[in-house]
Amino acid sequence: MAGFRSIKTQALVVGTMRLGEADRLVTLYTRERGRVSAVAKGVRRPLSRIGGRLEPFSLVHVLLHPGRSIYTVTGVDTIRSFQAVREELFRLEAGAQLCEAVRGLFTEEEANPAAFNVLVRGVAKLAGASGAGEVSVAVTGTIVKLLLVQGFVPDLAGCVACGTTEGLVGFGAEEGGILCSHCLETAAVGCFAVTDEGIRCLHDLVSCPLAELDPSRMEESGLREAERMARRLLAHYAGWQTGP
Amino acid sequence: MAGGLFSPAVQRLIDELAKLPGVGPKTAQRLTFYLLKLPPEEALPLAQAITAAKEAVRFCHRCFNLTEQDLCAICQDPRRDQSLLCVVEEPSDVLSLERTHEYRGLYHVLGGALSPLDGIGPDRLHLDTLFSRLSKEPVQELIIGTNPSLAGEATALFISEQLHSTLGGRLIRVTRLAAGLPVGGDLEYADEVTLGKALLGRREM
Repeated sequence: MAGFRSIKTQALVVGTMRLGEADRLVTLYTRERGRVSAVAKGVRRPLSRIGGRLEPFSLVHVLLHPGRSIYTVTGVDTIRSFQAVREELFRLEAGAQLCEAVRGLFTEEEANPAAFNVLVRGVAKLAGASGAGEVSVAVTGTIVKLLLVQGFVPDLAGCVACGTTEGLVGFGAEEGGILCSHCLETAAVGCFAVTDEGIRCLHDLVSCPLAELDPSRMEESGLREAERMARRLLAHYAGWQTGP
Repeated sequence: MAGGLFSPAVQRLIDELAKLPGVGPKTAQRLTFYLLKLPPEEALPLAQAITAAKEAVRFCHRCFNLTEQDLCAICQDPRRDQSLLCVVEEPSDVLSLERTHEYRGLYHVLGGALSPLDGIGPDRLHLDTLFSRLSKEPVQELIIGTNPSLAGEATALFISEQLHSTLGGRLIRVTRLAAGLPVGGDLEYADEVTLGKALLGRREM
């Protein structure tokens, strides 16, 4: 924890858990300090002035006081509450994937303003998403952008193993991109077959700005493949265990 | 805590007390010395009370509230309104609602709340038994009394969504505890989310 001065920063709440009698331990993704954990005292009491502002997915101005080992939240102002994410189960489950991605990809106290911007735009897009396609594009697009700002760019121009641009039919997260039929056969466990449409969707998710991603321009099956590829990449770089 | 400072029995008591919620190593140490200073006739009833409670108290077969019998006192009470069922997260929430003296229906304790952020799914809660109760008992109104937090809202949404598919054609009124301003609080200090909910849930006078 750098210094003992209070920090005022924008933050998105990405997790909370009960602590002690009436406190909460909140996980924030801040613009100034990246991911931080902070104790919010007394916020579970009905008369708390800040409890309602520290619900997951809220974008807030937060004042953090550094303690010996952990920050304490001393002030909160809501910028946007993104209430819509919490009001529908399908958006909430999708939002949980973003929070999980933040916890997996970013270590504590490592500022990354670009990641903060991506996350806020992603949650805003999710709050406005109405159908399954829009939700999928919002979440997968945000996960892909978070991978990009961390420097993990999937290679989609040609086979990552041999370089050929012909017969690209597979994907390997560990390999870092798409594979040709020959390399897919000899690749490690965990690689899987993908179609041209899936590759095109992932390409769109990588190259188009989040606001311009439109599910109506993507095939549903291709989007599902892109979703699978993005999740495998996330699991690989976050160091999570995945099935075959 | 440096090893070997205390006798094994004292250290064990400190370690056990430190496992309690809200009790850190310092408080555990303070409590241990307080207990050791007490005469046996004052200290031992605490140990006996813990043992007796752990042996006697179990979950009600019907609502999962804490009880010493198969059914809790509320489930056994014939004066309770059988057409009202209130779903809460923990047995302590039953106590809070009972203190209001405003509710005369039955309860169902879920044993927690769904939390997509922490991976707590429906299989970890008493949800199957809730739906089975609703299909067998003459419930006309289901009051969802989970906390107004993310997990509580997720649980409320899940229950109301599942209810339509579970009960087929039978209609049960589903209501949610109102959210808004606390009694005695100042409007000036209310947060935007709470105030927004209070506005949405305003009632006619």
